[in-house]
Formats: sequence, structure tokens, C-alpha cells
Amino acid sequence: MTRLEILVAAAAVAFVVALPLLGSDYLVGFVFTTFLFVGMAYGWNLISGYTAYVSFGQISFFGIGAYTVAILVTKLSFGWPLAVLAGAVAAAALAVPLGWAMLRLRGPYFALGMLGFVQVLQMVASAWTRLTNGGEGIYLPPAGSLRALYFGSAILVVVGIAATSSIDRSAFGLRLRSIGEDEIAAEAMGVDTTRAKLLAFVIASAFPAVAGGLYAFRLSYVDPASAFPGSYEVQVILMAIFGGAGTVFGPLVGGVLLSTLGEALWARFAELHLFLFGLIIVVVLRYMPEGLIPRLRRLAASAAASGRKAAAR
Amino acid sequence: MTTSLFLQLVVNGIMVGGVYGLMSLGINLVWGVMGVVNLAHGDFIIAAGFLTFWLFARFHLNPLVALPVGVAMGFVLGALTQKFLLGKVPQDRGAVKTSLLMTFGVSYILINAAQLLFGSEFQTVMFLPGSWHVAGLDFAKSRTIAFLMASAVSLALWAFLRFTFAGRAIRAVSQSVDGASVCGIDIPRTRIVSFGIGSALASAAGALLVMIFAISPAMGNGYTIRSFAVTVIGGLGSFPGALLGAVILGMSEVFAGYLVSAQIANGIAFLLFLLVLLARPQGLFGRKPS
Amino acid sequence: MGTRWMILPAIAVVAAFPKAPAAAAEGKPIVIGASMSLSGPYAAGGRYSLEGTQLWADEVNKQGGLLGRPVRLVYYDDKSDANTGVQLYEKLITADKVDLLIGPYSSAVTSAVSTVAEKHHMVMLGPEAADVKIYQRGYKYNFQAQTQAGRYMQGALTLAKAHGYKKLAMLSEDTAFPKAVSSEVAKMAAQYGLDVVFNETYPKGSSDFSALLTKVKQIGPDVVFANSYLPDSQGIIRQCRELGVDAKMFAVAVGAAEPEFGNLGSTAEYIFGATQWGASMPWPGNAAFVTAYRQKFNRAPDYHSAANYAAGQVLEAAVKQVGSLDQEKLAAAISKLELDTVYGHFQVDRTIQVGYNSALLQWQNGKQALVWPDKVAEAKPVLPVPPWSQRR
Repeated sequence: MTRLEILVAAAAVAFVVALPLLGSDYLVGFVFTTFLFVGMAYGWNLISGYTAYVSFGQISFFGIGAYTVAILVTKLSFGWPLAVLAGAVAAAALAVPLGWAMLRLRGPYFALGMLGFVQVLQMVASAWTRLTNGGEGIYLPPAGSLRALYFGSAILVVVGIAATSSIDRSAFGLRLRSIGEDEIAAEAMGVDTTRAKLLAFVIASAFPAVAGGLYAFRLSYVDPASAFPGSYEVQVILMAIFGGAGTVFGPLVGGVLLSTLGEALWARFAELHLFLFGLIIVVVLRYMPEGLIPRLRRLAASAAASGRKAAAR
Repeated sequence: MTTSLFLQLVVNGIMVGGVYGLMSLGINLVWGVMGVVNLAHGDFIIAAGFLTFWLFARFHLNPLVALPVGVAMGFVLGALTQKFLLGKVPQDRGAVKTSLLMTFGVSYILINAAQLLFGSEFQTVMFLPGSWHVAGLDFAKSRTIAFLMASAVSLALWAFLRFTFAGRAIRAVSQSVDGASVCGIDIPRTRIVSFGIGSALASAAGALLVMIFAISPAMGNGYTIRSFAVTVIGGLGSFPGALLGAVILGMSEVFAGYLVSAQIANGIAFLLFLLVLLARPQGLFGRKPS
Repeated sequence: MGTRWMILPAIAVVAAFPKAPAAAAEGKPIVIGASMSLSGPYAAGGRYSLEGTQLWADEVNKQGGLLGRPVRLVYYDDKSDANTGVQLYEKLITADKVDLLIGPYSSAVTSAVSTVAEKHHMVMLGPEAADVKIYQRGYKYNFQAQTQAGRYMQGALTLAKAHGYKKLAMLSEDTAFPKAVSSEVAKMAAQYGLDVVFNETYPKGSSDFSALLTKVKQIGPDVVFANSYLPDSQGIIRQCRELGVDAKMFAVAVGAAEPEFGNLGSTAEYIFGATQWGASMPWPGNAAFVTAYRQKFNRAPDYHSAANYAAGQVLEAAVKQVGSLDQEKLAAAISKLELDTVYGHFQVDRTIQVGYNSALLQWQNGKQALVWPDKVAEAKPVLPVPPWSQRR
């Protein structure tokens, strides 16, 4: 990392650590929620950004994380950090057979399959009343410390950045990218696409699971509707593609910018909020499909190039 | 289970299947012709339903008269979506991903616009209360009319595809894009018309749905899945397959609701869909997916 | 490379959310916060509730405010969703910094939201929460301001017993309040000579009840209870007619009290509905409340409006008694308060509402008429109801 990058990273860490001391409860809550979204965007990025297997069902894992925490905390008196990790494990465990089944389906079939799977899980949550209390939902004890949850969410983001960054530069990341570009060619070149995709899918599942667990504990309430919120899927996807799918900082930048935009709207203008997000997705895909960060990079590169040309004249 | 009960459940299943069939024909058309999976399909259905409700509540317009209005709106919105959005997606390897994401975005635009215009509550059109009693079975009037209308529209579609030039152009493009273009068919224009018709069919289904029971914006996703479930069960590209798939789904929901629980009935569509996708992706009569 | 871009949004975000300001000055409005179901399945009742609160706030201001300060209502739409409600109450408390809270619509949302109020040590009256389980969790700051779920169907049960009906079928939405009603009724059924022959739930947001109703039809009950909110009450009754599900008596827990139920037209005729209040009930200030409401909103109030208005009255009385907005003192005051509101006699026993009762109405000739209890009845109940095939 360059000296500037280290400085920026240190400033970011300082900001994150100092926030609870400087900002209001509401601000901390807002940043907490933003970090959850950013974390989920990193998860989506891993499976859908790199491998081009577009998943519309990552909130399946969000719900799994939420319910795992709710059940472990209320029925077995787990502390929330352990319960959240258990949620990630549960999601990863589910992701193995699910991914094995789903990733055999190409393109649109995979997308539809994941979309459908969310509904199946919602149905299971409604019907399995013994475990989940059905439509009535599970009530958790009030979350004691927002600060602790907030740091949990910050850790999620750090893990997301670190994981994506290391995968991006690794052979594994290259394999994923090759699958995203042309899976058949990748197979022909000897890449074990099944294994690579599955690994990405499993890793990706942990992020929404942790987010869901933290979220459930903060809200102190989980029911089938709130555990699988469809509007979160659209926001996460938008954040990833707006920032730049398949990049290391795309989800972070996209997440922070869009979360701030959403903050002004979500309470008073809920439909306008989602309408706008849908509109932004469409506009981004039409005019800036690679995302913000790559586009800015290109602009910076071409500005540097014309600068050099001018200097050379 | 008595015979008359069994028959009643079958009748209920077939009637709901009729509307599902209409919904899935739109998917079949768009997917078959353009290979585009339209995730906004269910939202076209609901948006048209809300429009129909609004016309009924505000202007006391008979929903059957309002149906063409919804259909026209669906056609226009669908055509515009194809012309300015989907049609402009570069046809490279990322096309599938981009189209999927685009229709995903369109679904949010559509359903929230509908809520901004028509409100977000549960709405229904109370039209033709009661039922007809024939042969010891109850035929709910609103559902029967919806079934008959859905059948009529399906028939009209079949005739359009079979006998009109535009219809045959659509079928040609779905079989072979290069072959069709060699024959002089305007491919982009055909695609625009197809997407428009697909959305128009969804809108017709929505207008009929709102007559049967209450709809809410949140239901869009569920109908998207159901429409795809029917298409996948029946098989992509097969008209009779879609209708058969629809009846299968309708009856599964009704019997699951009766024998097990309402919660399970809600999820049957998705379960069947996943099962078919994994075990026999081409469905009953469809061609192998590319 | 991408890290540089983080700086600007970060600064913007911190600047947008300042920390809590200094203590309030004199004459500053007292802010009351609430979330309301203005969209989604609970919207019909939610709107009436909001209007009740708004009318109360208006009247308080007309009479010089509370503690000499004007009252201002801040509210958001929770979309009938517990999840959204929780986030909104967090916002109301931590961002909007409201002084007083009023609960949302429905037991489900109130239950979820009650934890937020409790966590922040803020008093919250629940005027639209009938499920007593919410108030049995040892919370100190949440008080029930609505008739208990168990009392909702008392009128219907009494009439059923009086007519010697035996078989009772119940359909309930799979959420807190309807399930509370069905479980209370199931416990009491034997006392009323009734046998519960069917008791199943459907997921929230359902529209198609034909499968459940086909099962009910097979059983052939005497009495059908729909423990539901307005859209499902309408859907269930409509589909009872379409499927030819006949019974001697149909009663719905919520929805029949709304004028919108009349959209069912002739199908609404003879349907019974639980209600907790009527415009004709002789509670102090009730008549004036109804007149003022009609004037402000151009429509008649329903019991949800009255319940929220009454909650305002209780808050007002408590604040006046305590002389401040101290939440601990308010909690202590409300727990012992007894007040005759427009809704009835408010009284809580360890935060559960024991003062409020229920009544029963029936749709007759296209209008609602109170038929039970006798002292408020406007008409006689019509029982048994004619079979669907004989209706217009």
C-alpha cells in the first residue's frame, strides 16, 4: 500500500473508533445500518460481482442469521457475539448443498432459483412454528449496548474489505473472474469451476448472515417478513453495482453514498426511496455499467493521459 | 374425501390455473423470443390490478371495460422498457446479467410508482358477488368470469401468433434470430412488440386478479415466481405446456391448502419451481434450455 | 485507490447528525411521536387511529396546550410492518428527540416497538394493542390502552350461547392479536356451550382463503369467527359467500366496525363485528368528540379514533398530575390512574388494561347497529342469518 493509502486507512479507522464518542445515538445507529449493508454488498460482490452468477436471494442467509440469533439468544441464552457467529456457520452450512444445487443452473435459472429460495425459507419460517413461532415472531431481550453492535458491524466491513482484497489479488480471484468472463472457456482451461463457484458462494453467504444476526439483535424482533426483507436485496445489489461490482472498494463507496441518500428518504418517502433506487439501478446499468469506481478510474486515467500529452507538446 | 369435495377442489384449481396460465404466457413469449427473464413481470401484474381498481373506485368503470386500458398501459410500458433499456444492453457475454439486473430495477420502479399513484393498501374490486351453483358445485362468479376472460385472451394470443404476420415474425425470431433476420424481419422491432405483448398479458392477468380478491404491492414478487414456475413446469416455448403447467400449479396450491395448511400452499409454487429446475429443467414439453 | 473517496462522504455524514442539543427553552413545543400504519394491511384502522391522535392534539392546543406549551405531533408510516415500526421509533426517540410517545397500530407492531420504548425508558401507551402478552413481560414503561383481546368476542359468544349454537369455527391471521383472540376464545368456549371444531391460521397478507373455507364448509359449523383485520375480514366473508359456506352466525374481530366493510354490499349484511366503542355511548365528552371529529375529518370516527383520542386524554391527565415530562414519574402516575375517557373507563392492573370493555355490532340494512350489550344496543340482533343462496 502507498503512504497515502495507509494514511487514509488510518484516518478511516480513527473515524470509526471515535464515532460513538462524538456522534449521537442516531448517527451511530445509522452508521451501524450502513455497515451492515456494506458488509452484505461485499458478500454479494464475491458471488455475483466476480463470477457473474447474479443472485437475488442473498437475503436468504440474512434471514438464517437473524433467526439463528433469535433462537439461540431466547431459547439457549447465548450471548449475541457467539450467536451471530453461529448464524454465519449455519448459513455457510446451508450454502454448501444449496450452492451445489443452484450453481448447476446457468444464468437466469440461477437468479430465479435464488429468488424462489427466499420465498421457500419464508414459508418454512411461517410454518415451523415450534422453532420460529410462526407469524408471531420471536421477541429478543433489548439490546444492551449499541456501541458493541456497532463495532461488530465495523468488523464485518473490515473482514469484507480484507477478504475481497486478498481474493482479488489471488489465484482464486483470478479463477472467479475467469468464470465470470466465460465459464466454458475457463473449464476448458482446466479451472475447477464447480469448486471455485461453490467456495465463493459459501464465503459470500457468511456476510448477510452476520448482518442479519446483528440486525435481529438490534431490533429485538424477528418474524418471517422482517427476516427476509425484499427491499434490502435491491439496496445491497444497487450498492455493489453502483460502486463497482468486482472491485475491492466498490461496495464500500456505493454503500456509504447510497445509504446516506436513502437516509433522507426512507422514513418519510418510503416509496419514493425505492422508486429512486430502482431508477438508479437502471440508469447505472444503461450508462455506467461498470460502476462508479472503475468509471472514475478511467476518467482519472484519461485525464492523466491528456495531461501527459499536453506536457509532451 | 367425497367426490363432490374432490371435484370442487379441482374446479377451484382449474379456475385459478386459468389466470396463472395467462400470466405465464407473457413470460413464455418474452423469455422464448428474447431470452430475457423479466423479473418485473409480477409487478406489471399488480400495477395493472391497481390501475383497474382505481378506475373502478374513481370512475365506477366496470373492470371488464377497464381491462383493455390496463392492457394498453402494459403494452406501452413494456415496449418502452425494451426500446430504451433492455434493447440497448450490449449483446456481449454480460448481457444476461445486465438484463436481469435491469428488469430487477424496473420492478422496483414500477411497483413503487404504482404505490405513489394509487396508494399502498390492499385493494379489490367487489364485482359480481356470490356464485353459480351447477351440478352441486360452487362456481364463484368473479373467478368464473376471470377464468373465461383469461381463456379468451389466451386464445386471442394463440390466433395472433398463428395467423398474423407480426405473430409469425415473433415465432420466427424465437426459433432463430439469424434465420429471421435473413428473411427480412426487423429484429429490434419484433422484440419491442414481444416485450410489449408480454407485459400486456401480465397486465390483463392483473386486471382479472383484482376482481377475484384483494391485492397489495408486496404480492408482485410472488406472482413473478408463480409465472416462472408455470413456465418452467410446462416448458419454455410451449403454449400448451404453459396452460398445463398453470393448471398443475393451481391444483397443487388448492390441494396443498386443503390437505396441509395455508402457509404451505403459499410456498408450493416455489417448491415446484425449484424441483423442476433441478430435476428436469426443460419441464414437460419445453426445449432444452440453452 | 478507492480509499480516498471515503473522506468526503464521511465528513458529510458526521456534519449531518449533530449530537443532542442543550435543554429545551420555555414555550418550546412538546413533541409527541408515533408511527402509524398508513399503508399495508392495517392501513384502514391505522388512519382512524392517527386522526384520533391528531384531533386530541388539536383540542389540547386550543385549550392552551400542555403545561403551558403547545403540542406537536410527529408521525411516520410504518407500513403495517413491525420491523419498520421499530426503526421508526428508534428514529423518533434518538433523532427527533420526542418528549412523549404514543404506540402504533396492531398488537404485532406494538409488541416489537415496546422494547424500543422500554430500552430508552420512555412511557408508551398502546391504544391499538389488545394482546395482553405484550404487557406480561415485566416491562415498566408500556401500558395497554385498548380492550383486551379476550374480551373482543364476548358479545358474539354471549349471543351464540343464548341461541344454543354448538359448533364454532375460527380462522385467524398468524400474528399476535388474532392469535390472542383465538386462544382466549378457545379457553372460554366451553363456558358458552361452544365446541371449537376448527381453528387454523393463515399467513399475514393472504388474500385467498378458499382452501381454508372449503375445509370449514365440510365441517358445517354453527358459528364462524374471523380473527382478522379489515382486508382479510372482507376477503373471508366474501369467499364464504362464493364458496357457499353457510353458518348461523358470522363474526369478525376487526373490520366490521369500519365503514369500508360496507364495500361488500349485500354480502356485508347480517355480519357481526366486535367493536369497543360507539358514538352513542354515554362516556363523558364522547358526543363532543364525535362532533369535533366529523368537523375536522369529514367522516365519522370509529373505535380506533376514539381509542387514540382517549390515550391522549390519559397522557394529558398524567402529565398534568405529575407537572412535568419526567418519564419515571409519568409511569408511576399512569399505573395508578383511573380516568373516564371517551372510550370508557381507563384502568390498568400492572400495565394490563382492565377498565375497557367491548361491544358488538351487526350490519343491518347497509348500516352498522350496536346490538350488545343491552345498555348500549341500538337494535336487536338478527339471528340466525339467512343462507347465502337466499340473499340478494
